[in-house]
Amino acid sequence: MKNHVISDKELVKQYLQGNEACLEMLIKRHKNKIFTTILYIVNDHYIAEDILQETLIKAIRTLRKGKYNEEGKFLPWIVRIARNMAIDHFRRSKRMPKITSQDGKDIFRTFEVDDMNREETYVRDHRDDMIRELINQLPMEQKEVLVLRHYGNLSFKEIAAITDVSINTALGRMRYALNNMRKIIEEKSISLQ
Amino acid sequence: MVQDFTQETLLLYAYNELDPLMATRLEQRLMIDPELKAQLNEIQECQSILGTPEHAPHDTTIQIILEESGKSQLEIH
Repeated sequence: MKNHVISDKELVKQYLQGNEACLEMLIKRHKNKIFTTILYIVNDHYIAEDILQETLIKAIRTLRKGKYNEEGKFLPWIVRIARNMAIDHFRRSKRMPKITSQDGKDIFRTFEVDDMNREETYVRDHRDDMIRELINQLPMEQKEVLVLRHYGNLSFKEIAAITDVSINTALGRMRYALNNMRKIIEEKSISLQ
Repeated sequence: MVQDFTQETLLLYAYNELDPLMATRLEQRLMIDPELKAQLNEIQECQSILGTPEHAPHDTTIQIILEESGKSQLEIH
């Protein structure tokens, strides 16, 4: 996130001084990135909405208790909370979640894509579904590095810290993730054009 | 001395995390090493396939969170 007039650090500071509007700015600035990261981990639109709520409410409570000390690195901090919530979800559930049904997803998207061409929307949705399915076939350790790096925009160093491994291990997992992804595409002759 | 560049180095480069000096050395090597260039292309193809979609949560979800924050009586500090 570049070229913001007010930095995340400043927004956090002003929020803690009582300016509620700063929280709204922070959330609106980062909500899509956090949500996309959660969605690609849990692979279910409804669960992702729930986890986003839990994540942000936990973050707000932590901020208000004065326990936030990330020195301006707001996004990595909140993505870490989101990642932990998503992993907790996996541990609680006994089966891997299935992809959200098309009907369910359309309920959400009806509000977002009113003006988009239907065919264009269908192609985009179909491609997104295939990518999500593809990512979902990766082992969890590889999947989370890929999602946190590519969609969460965390550095490999930050991912290493969050997942409690060395940076070389994080990089190795990413390498395996991309190699496995390519293998799946080749084996199943998937077209992602 | 010819420096070896690993796939991990290529990954750091592809995600703009390689330090500038190392990145310059890598770029020089890429110009003369088609095998290394092919490896980088594979990583960049994967990046392209993954794309950069940003899915948005429903507006109601955000509204609930903001209302929750407004209602909360927890004290700062």
